[in-house]
Amino acid sequence: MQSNRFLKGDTITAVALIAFAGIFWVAADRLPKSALGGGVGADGLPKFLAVALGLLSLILLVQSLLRKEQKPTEEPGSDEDKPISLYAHMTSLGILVIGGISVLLLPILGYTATIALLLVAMALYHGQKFTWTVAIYGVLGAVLLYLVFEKVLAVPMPEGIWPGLFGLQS
Amino acid sequence: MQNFHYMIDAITSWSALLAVVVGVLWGICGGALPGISASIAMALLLPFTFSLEPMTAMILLSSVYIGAEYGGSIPAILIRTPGTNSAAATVFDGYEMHKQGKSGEALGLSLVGGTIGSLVGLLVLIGFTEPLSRFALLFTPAAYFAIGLLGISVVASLSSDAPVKGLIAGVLGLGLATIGTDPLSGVARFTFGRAELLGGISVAVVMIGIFAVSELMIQRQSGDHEVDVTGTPPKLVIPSLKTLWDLRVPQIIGWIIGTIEGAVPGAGGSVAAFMSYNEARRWSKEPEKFGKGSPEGVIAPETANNVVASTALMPTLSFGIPGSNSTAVLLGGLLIHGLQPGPLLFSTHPDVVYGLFGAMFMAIAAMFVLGTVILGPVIWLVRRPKPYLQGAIFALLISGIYSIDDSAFDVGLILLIGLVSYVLRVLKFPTLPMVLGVVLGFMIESNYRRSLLISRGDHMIFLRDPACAVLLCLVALMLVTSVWREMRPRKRTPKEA
Repeated sequence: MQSNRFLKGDTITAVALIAFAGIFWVAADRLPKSALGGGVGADGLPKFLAVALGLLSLILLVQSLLRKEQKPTEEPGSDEDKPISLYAHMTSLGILVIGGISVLLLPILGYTATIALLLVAMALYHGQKFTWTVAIYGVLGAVLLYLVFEKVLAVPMPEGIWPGLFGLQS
Repeated sequence: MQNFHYMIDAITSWSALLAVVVGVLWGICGGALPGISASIAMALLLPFTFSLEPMTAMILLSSVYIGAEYGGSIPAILIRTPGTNSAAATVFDGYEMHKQGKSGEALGLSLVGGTIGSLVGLLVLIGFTEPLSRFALLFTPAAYFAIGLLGISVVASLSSDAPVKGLIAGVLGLGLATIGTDPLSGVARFTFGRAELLGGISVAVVMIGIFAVSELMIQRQSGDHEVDVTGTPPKLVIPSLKTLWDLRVPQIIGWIIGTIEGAVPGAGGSVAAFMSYNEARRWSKEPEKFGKGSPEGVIAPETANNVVASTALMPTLSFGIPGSNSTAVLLGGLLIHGLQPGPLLFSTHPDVVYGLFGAMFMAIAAMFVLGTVILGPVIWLVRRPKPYLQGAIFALLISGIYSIDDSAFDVGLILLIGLVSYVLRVLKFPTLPMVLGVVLGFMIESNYRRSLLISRGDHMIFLRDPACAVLLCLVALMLVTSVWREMRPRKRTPKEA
C-alpha cells in the first residue's frame, strides 16, 4: 500500500510531467523543418513522445487522485514507506556537489591531485575522520588510477597548472 | 562448423583469456560488494571498452556479467545482504547455513549449482538464439518498430509494481534518445547549442548516470555505511556428486524456471530465483527445512539466477531487446562498437555472436576456478569501510567517463542524469525502462520513419503489416492490462481497511 506521502508525490509529479510534455511538444514543434526528413520530420517522434508522456501522466494523475479519495490507511513498519528527510536528500546531493567541484578543479589542479582530493572528500563525506590513513588512501588511489589511465590505457589526462608553474610545458 | 571456429578463435587469444580472467574477477568482486550490482559493475567498465576490439569488449562485459552472479551470493550467505538483486532469495537458507557453521557448504552449493545452471543456460542460448533470429529476419521495418515498443511495454509492465510509472520512464528514455542530430534530415534536436550533444548522449554516459551515480546517492541517503563481517573467512566446500544428485530436483526446477524467465524481457534473475525457491519448497520431501538452512533452498535460486544470466541474452541477441539491466549494458557495449543487436547480427558479425558464446563458456569455467580461490580476498574487500569503496567507485566512474572523449561535459552529464535518475527512484519510478528507451530509441525511430517512407506517409502500414498489427495489439493489451492491474488491488483498500 502506498502511503499518502507517495500519493501526494505522485500528484505533483504527474502535474509536473504534464507541463514537461507540453514544453517538449513546443520544443519539438520549433525544430527546423527539412525536406530530407521524409513524411515524418525530425519532430515526428518527439511529438509522439510528448503526447504519450502527457497521456500517461494524466493516467498517473487520475490514479493518484482516485487513491487519495479512498484515503488509504498507513501501514506501519515498511522500510520503503518510511519518509526520507529533506536532510537525507541534501546529503545525497552533496555527492553531486563533490563531483561538480572535481570537474571544475580538473583543468586547474590536474588529474592526480583532483582525484586525490575527490577520494579524501568522499571518505570524509561518508563519515570517516581525517587521519593519515585517509590521506594515504587518497594519494595511493589517485596514483593507481593515474597509472591505469595514463600509462596502461594511454589516455592523456589533464595536467593542470603544474607544468606551466614549473616550466615543464612541452 | 565455421561458427564453431569463431568460438574457438575467440577464446584462444591471449587478449580474450585476459579479458575473461579480469572480467570474472571484477564481476565476482562487484557482485559481492553490496550496492554494486552486476549492471553497475559492467557499466563502470564500459568506458574502458572504447579502446578495445569489439570482441574483446564483449568478452570482458559478459565475463563480468557471469562472475557477478556468483559474487552476489557471497554476502547473501555470509552477511545476510545480497550483493545483487538476484541473490536475494539465497539469503533465506544461505545465511541460516552460515549460522550453523556451514558457510563453506552453502558457498560451494552456490558456486557449483550456479556453474551447472550457467552451462545449461548457455546451451539453451546457443540452441535457440539463431532460430529465433532467423524468425526475426522475416520482420519488416514496421514490425521492428512495433517490437521495440513491445519490448519497452513488457519491461515497463513487469519490472515494477507501477507499470504506468514504468511506461513514463520508457517514454523519458526514448526522449533522451532523440537528443542529437536527426539521422535522416541532419536537423539538430534539443542540443541547446552545445556541440557535445550533436552526436547524441553516449549510451555509456546514460548507463553510468542511471545505474552508478544514482546508486551512490541512494546509498548516501540511506546512510548504511558499515558492513559487519566477523570471524575467519570460511573454506569453500565443493559438494560431492552424490550431494548434487540428491539435489537434482531443485536444480531441474531452477533450469526450467530460469530458461522461461530469461526468455521473457523484464522478468529477470530475482523473479526466477524466488519462483524456483518456492517451487523447490513445494516439490521438496522436507519442505519444513526451508528457511532453516536447507541446501535445496540455496541451490534452487542460485541455479535459476545463473540460468537467467545466459538465457536473458536470447531476446537481446535475436530481437535486440534487452530484458534486464545487465543485458541492457551488454547491448550498450555492442552499440558503442557500432554493432546493432538483432537478427542481422548473426549474418553481419557471426564472429562476435559465436565468439561471445565461446567467451561465456570460458567465463563460466573461470567463475568455477576463480570462485574457489578468490573467496578470501573478496571477503577482505567486503570488509573494507564503505566510505573508501564509495570514493573509489566515484573516482573510477568520473575518470572512466572523462577518458572517453576527454570531456568534462560528459562528467557533468552523468551527474545530471544521476540526479534525474535519483529523483525518479525516490518517486518509485523503475529505471530499467528508461535505459531501454535510450538503447532502443534509434531502432524504434529509424524503423518508424523507414516504414513511412515505404508507405509514402500512410500510417495504415502499421495495421496492414500482419506481424506489426499483432505486435501493436500486444502492446495495447499490455498497456490496458498494466493500468487495470495497477488500479484493481487499490479498489479493495477501503474494505481491507
